[in-house]
Amino acid sequence: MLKYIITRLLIFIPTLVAISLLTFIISINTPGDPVDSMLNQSSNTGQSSDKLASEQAYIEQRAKLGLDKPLFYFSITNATYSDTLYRVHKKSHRETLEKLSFKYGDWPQIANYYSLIKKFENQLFLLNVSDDLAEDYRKLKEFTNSLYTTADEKTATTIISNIDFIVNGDKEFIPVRPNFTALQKAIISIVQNQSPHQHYIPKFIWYGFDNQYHNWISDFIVGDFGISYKDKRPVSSVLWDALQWTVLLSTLSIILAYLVAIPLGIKTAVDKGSKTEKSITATLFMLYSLPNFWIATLLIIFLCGGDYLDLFPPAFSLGKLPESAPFWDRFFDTTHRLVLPVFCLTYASFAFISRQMRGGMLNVIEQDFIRTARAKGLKENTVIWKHALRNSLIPIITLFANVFPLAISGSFVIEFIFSIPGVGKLTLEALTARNYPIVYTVLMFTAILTLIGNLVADLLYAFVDPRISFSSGKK
Amino acid sequence: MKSIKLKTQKQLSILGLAIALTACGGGEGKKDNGNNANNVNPNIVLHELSDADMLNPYNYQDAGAGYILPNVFQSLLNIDFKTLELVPVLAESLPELEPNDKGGLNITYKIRKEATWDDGTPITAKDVEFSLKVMKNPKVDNARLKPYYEFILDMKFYDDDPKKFTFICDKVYILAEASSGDFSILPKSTYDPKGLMDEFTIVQLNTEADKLKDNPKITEFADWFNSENFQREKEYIKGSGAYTLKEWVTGQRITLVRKEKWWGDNVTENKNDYLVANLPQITYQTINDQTAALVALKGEQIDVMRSVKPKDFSELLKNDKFLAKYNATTPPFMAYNYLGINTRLPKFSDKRTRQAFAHLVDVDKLIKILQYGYGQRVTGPIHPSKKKQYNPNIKPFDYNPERAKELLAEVGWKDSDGDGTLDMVLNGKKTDLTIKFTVNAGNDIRKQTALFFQEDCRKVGIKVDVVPEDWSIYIENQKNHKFEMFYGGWVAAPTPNDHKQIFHTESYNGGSNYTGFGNTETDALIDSIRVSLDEDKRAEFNYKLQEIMHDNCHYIFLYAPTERIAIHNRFGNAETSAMRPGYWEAAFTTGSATTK
Repeated sequence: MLKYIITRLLIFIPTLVAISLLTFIISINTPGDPVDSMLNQSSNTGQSSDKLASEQAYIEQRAKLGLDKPLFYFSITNATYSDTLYRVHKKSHRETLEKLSFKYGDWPQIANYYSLIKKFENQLFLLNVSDDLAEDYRKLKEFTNSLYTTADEKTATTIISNIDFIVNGDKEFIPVRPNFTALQKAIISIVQNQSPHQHYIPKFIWYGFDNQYHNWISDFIVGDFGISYKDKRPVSSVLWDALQWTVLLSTLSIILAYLVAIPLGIKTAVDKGSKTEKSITATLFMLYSLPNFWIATLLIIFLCGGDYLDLFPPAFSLGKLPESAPFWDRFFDTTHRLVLPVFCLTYASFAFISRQMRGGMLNVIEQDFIRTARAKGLKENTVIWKHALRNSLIPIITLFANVFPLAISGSFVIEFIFSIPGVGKLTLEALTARNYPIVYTVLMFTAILTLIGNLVADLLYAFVDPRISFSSGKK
Repeated sequence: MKSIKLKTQKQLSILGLAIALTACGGGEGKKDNGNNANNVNPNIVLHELSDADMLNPYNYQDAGAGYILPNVFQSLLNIDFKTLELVPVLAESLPELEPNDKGGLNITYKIRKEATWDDGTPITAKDVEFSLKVMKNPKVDNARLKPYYEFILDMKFYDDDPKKFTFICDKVYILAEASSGDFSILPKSTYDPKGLMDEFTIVQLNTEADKLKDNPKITEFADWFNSENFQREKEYIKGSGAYTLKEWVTGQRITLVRKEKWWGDNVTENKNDYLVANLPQITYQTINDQTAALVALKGEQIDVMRSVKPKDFSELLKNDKFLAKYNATTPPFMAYNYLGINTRLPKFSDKRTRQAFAHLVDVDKLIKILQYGYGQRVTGPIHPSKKKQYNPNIKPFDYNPERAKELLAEVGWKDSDGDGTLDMVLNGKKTDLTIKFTVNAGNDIRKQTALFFQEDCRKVGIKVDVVPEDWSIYIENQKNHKFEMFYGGWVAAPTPNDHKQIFHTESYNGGSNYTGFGNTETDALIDSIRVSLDEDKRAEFNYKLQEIMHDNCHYIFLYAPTERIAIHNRFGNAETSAMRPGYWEAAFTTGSATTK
């Protein structure tokens, strides 16, 4: 048995690594730029100083988040791919450069071209031109800027010839001409020396240990989950706040679900075909089919002291009483406020769990040993609760494996409607805001708990059914 | 996760249904939470849709925190709640502005003589210097705010008066005065007890920022300042405002209490609402769900709720029981909604095509049906309540499909192949007049607007596809100009409009000029507006710019929404205004309480 547990625990390690990789790859590839969504979270006032400043802010923020580092230890790609591309700050520029280097196959030249555009643009911004050239000057800046996002030879040539026309049109532009000539030459040389065959040469790039994945996973292992992008708090602290409510809610809901559903399942199995059984089943299925967000909203409208009944305080002021209030007062206050959310979380699972229980029970009570037990003259209650129950628990245990991840992942809908700051709400908000540190951590913990849940379920199988054993070979 | 998302969307529609059900139920009387007239509860509870991110006045990002912070921290100036003009808070009066030899401005302030920190030490020019140094510390997590203060190059002090100082600024800029006075002044004793920032000067922080990044003292201070303590711990969040943080229950509520001794009580001269604090306690209660918040409002669990949904608000106004307890007001909201058109696409490059679209949007209907009348039509980016700068001569495009047809025909659009969609040959290719209309997923009003537009376009032979996109993708596509038409909105401050970020051609790449608006003339206008401190002159430029924008029609300007606020009627002095969030809670009065 012990050996089995140890083996299972060892299998956890590769599984978790695989999950972490998957999580990482998926989040990195989701569209949207976390730096941007962070900087522009609410500053839609449309008032910012000038271009250079905001770009500076972007670069700083990106470096602070460690997003300017390579993604992974290595990459296997073709020979056109650059090993330093990740250092380019702007996502749109990166994309253009990637396309260019793929098309023309020579990264050093592309890099040179990129730095020449930058040099030319910077020089342009420093230029002082007279008012009658303002139109040309503006166009010049615009054309130059559009080079950053042009990966197509034809368009680039048109742009270059447009710039050429303006730059050579007036002597005020003389200072920028040398740089422009260099830029022109760079383009010609890129096109002339293109080496598309490079696509077919595989290339292996080793980035070393200072990469995003390594930094994240090594911090994760030692318990440093990073800093939440949104409020810049440590993820552990944010998560701890949220977990308290979610675990409380989920635990109450799970306990309640099993306490009610198991007896109901047994009852409906034993009284199969009776009127009671039918009405219980009908009620449970009706509950099952009512969406909980709708019920939750209705309950709030009708029971929480709006225009109608005032039976329950609104759940949103959880923990309203100060810490100094007597424990029992706080206990009852919190319980009172939790009634509705717990109910909404729970009622749908009554039907599900009790159906599973009923199925398991029906299987068992038709078996020979139950008949034997009855024939021995045992009381019906003893037969059901002592002999049949234990053997019919297998499907329930399978369900029970999900309890662990469920207990921490929370329910977004219920948490949102009742304003409970739990993990479900936190995760969904983090997902939409590209708040990766929170997303990673929640997903990893959910994964770990799922694995643990499965292990516990397997062990419980052996416990309730002696025919199942993990000791050695088959028994 | 996807299924959860689906659920929320469904949830929204169901919420709507639930609200409709309530409406049918009518307002049967049920309870009497009778407020004794003699015993008015002076503590206020304000509703917030989400928890603030932090109470660090330099590093915060979300608007919610921005509304709470002025109660705790004070700046030199603020915008008067009622007049929307700048008023002095920590400063004795508005600053003196004079041009300097660097082609910029010198802005001279004097701090009020009564102004002190909680421990009684006076607030001096040195505190302002310290705050500015924190703002400019390259490692402090304020990438969002930092660029706004780059224009302050140095500070000048006066030996004879420790409360007087001058900001030396690099350029003349319309927002220089407002910006120079709007950062929070921090007490050094709390924020830098070790004196880590002492050895650095403002000039150094401006010019050597890159080098200083690796300085251990800069880093140590930044780590200390960025820490969780200064975000949410009451022992650390200290300012010169009338309130201090009493309690923060994450995701639930933030409670502030009035200081017993506060310097603002002693001020007599040049006093304004920012130097008044009548309420003993202010609570910001987070309720994420609008319906739940509305129930709490009706049950008198919250006293102030803003941005009530238009439909709910119109129903509240019919509810006598509600009106007996609350004042419902609709101040203007300095924001506008628009439809942005990608002018650089060949099929939309002719302004007459865009004007035709404008004639197909029935804005009055949108305001009436989608906003329940809570909106005000606009013709440009400047809010109509900024009377001096708003150009009233522009006539909005009327809803006129016939005129649209004429304009389209003028451009050359006609249905040559009889497939029901207009087409024309552009750059040698036959192009159908189709519009991909993007909205951010989950925003019902925007989606419904798109559907109205789709229907009106169909009638004249334009095919519109409505595509909801996830917020971050929607924004990214706009930045990269990968859109045809989108529904957008901008929120402005009551300060003068600087159009550079949104309408200057330099902002086409990297800025917010998504539609590709602008030419040399508009750029020149925008640049002139930025430096015209004289209001009349600025108005002249702004009038012209608005005319060009209207004619160019890269934006179809829709309406400025009207804010919808409910405030419990036991509070006096509770006027609302266009200044966000729409009220200034600290200056509210209750029957018995008096202004000290």
